[in-house]
Amino acid sequence: MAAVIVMLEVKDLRVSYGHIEALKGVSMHIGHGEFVGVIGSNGAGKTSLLMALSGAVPVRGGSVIFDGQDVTDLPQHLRVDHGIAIVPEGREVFGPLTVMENLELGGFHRRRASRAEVRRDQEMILDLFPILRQRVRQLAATLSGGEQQMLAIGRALMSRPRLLLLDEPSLGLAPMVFYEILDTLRRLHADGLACLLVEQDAHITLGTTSRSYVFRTGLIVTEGSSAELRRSGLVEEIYLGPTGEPA
Amino acid sequence: MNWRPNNASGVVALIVVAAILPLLGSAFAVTVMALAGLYAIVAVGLNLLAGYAGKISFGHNAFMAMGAYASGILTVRYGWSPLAAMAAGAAGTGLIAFIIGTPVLRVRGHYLAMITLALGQIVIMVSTRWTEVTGGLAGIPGVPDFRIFGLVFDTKIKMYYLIWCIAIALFLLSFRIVDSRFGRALRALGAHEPAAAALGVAVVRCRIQIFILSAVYAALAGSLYAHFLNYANGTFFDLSVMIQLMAILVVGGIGTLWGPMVGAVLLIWVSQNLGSYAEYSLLIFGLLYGGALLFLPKGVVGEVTTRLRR
Amino acid sequence: MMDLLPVLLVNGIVFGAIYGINAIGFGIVYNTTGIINFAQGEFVMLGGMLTSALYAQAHFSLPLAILGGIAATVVIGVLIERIAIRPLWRRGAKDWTYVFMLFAVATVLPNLVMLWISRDPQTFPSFGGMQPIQLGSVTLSGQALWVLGVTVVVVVVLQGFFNHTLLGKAMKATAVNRRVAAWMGIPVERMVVLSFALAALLGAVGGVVFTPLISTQFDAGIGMTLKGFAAAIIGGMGNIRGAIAGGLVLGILESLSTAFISSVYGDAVTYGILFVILLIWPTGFFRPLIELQQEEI
Repeated sequence: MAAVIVMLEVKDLRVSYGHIEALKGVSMHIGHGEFVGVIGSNGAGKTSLLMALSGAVPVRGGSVIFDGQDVTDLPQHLRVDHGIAIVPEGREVFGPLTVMENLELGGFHRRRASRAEVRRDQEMILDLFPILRQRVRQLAATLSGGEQQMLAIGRALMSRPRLLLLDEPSLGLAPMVFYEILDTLRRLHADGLACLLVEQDAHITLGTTSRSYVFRTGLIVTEGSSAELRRSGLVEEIYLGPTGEPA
Repeated sequence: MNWRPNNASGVVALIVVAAILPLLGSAFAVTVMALAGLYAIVAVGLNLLAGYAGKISFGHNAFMAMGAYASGILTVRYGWSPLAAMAAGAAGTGLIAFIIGTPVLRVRGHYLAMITLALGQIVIMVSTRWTEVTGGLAGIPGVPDFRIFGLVFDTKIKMYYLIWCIAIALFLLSFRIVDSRFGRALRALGAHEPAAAALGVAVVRCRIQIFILSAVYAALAGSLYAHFLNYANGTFFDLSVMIQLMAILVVGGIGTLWGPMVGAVLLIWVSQNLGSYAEYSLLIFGLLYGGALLFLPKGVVGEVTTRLRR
Repeated sequence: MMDLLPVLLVNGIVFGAIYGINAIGFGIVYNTTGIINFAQGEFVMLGGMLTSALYAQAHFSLPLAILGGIAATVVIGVLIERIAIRPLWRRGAKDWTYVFMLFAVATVLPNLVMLWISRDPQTFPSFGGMQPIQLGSVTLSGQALWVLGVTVVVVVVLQGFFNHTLLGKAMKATAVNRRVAAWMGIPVERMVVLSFALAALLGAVGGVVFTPLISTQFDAGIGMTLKGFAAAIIGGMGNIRGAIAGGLVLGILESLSTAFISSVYGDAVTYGILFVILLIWPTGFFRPLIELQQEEI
């Protein structure tokens, strides 16, 4: 294979919680501006992958190289400096703070940059999600699920990430609401943002991403173009498991 | 009972050493070790509370004072027998612990620590000022020697043996508690509280019971102290006693079976042998126990056990 | 006795303001880190003792002594975080370890002060510059006015800090959700130091402004810790206005009960109040920033 310039290179990543191995040696990559998916059932290790990439859990083995730099053990609060931002599972917005304040905090690591630029980005995000503009002074806890999801994404975007990690954004959202958000993500991707979408809902993931990885019990069992994976009927296998193999 | 061989042999060794010490050591050594025995009693109770139920009390000095005063007042002013007075002290203290513990232990967090700290301050204040009852700073002199069924403990050596008999008995009782279903519930509690609660462990009830038990241990120690000195003075049980207890727990090893025993013997020796540094004793104890938290988190017993396992 | 009421109320308010400032310190540390700062009262004591040492022993002018005392206390607060808290934090120590550790700090510090500065009560002169005010039957001394004035300034500045500066909002965010705050690039460890520094600053300011009124002593810390905690509970941990309100309530209750119930047992009654409050309202009257959880028996 010719030398591809990859943005994110993960080699043999291992993550354990005490004695439980959540990731048993995972290798994958994401190219600049790619929209990559990760699917698999509960406990497959998808969230652990994102926790490791965002620095929230320590890595037991393997490496994570972002733009040629080893970020494997980089402290959590420095990841955003490198351009890695995460939209956590369950949104996790700062409830007692307003929508505006949540967005401001998303831009925290750029606090030394020009205030005007940061404000312009806030405007852009409010344009992207017009509902948020209506609720700009409301406390984040009073927003609906879908609005919180938009806020969480907007907050992550405030840091001007190069790679956006999304942990199960469809959870708890009505499908219509989620499709709207997905559209927005597609547009951002078209503008050059690389995304890693972790989802339980395989249909959506395979329909949105260009390439996907299939996780099971801490390992990657299949990878390839999302379109092909969809055609191959793999989706059923993921959930039912091929006969004879332990789940 | 679930005896592990090394624990049983440890207890036998303890009994043997405690038994022969007065024959080998000086009168001073006997007094020091008697004191150590009293602290060990309180520490064993506190260890059950902190190490297994995961709650902290900064007011056990107050419970000791309550036991001391109960024994002092009931025997001196009302002619009660020492045994009855001690029992009354233990019961009364247990009741107070129940009243305080029930509302406070229901809430997550470390409110018990604050409340018991406040309790300790209240008891010191009352001890000092309610002179008609407590004798104020002078205390209650003339506490009779302890006696049970005609056996009178009139010398320091006899009190030493009594104290250590009780200390060892209570120590063994704590083994029993830790190994019982109750104890296992406590350890599950300490390991992962939400899981323990989900499993139906009566979390709060366990905590309250342990708190009461630890208060009773402290009251018993306080009563024995009054008979040991023939003098009941609760103002002695101030914050410095609490600091010593904390140091004993931490240096010995919180949550270990032997920690409180080892810690008590070690640290009481240190405190009595400071000589010219006596002025700095509180400082030294505070530093010892802060240092242990930083550098010896499992305590002496914990570290030794870990090393032996390798 | 009833004609004493205005004086008692005013007294209660002045004392209560200090309890309130201390309670804010408690709340800041608790909300940012989840730690109950058992050494909070020591900051009050240190503010007073260090200032008086600088004034009486090192012969600094009063303003310089005050600045020095406050600054030194803040430095000590940062040192405590560095030496006693940070290693535990990095180890992922459990809640009770911090409680133990801070109690150790709360016993070592007064001892050091007793050995190096003095066993005896210390004080320094009132600040001057404020004329006493007559409110009906009550005279508010100049120093009492300083207490009230400083309290108002503290509240205004802190609210401005937390609501209008990015750093303040970052601290609030850390209090709400540490992990997500770190994902935003907020350096959580630095927020922890900052919270201790602020707590020390608040305690010291309270101590400095209070000492000319009632003098201070090396062992005054425990009482201030308990009362600050009580005020914080009444007001809801971390809510600034709630903390001040809690302090005022405590101060007034203390003042009234000392007069009407017993003056001998003054503090004991206050602690009794704390106990009753915890019995009935463990989470305080005002909505705290972080909810405490209640379990059933």
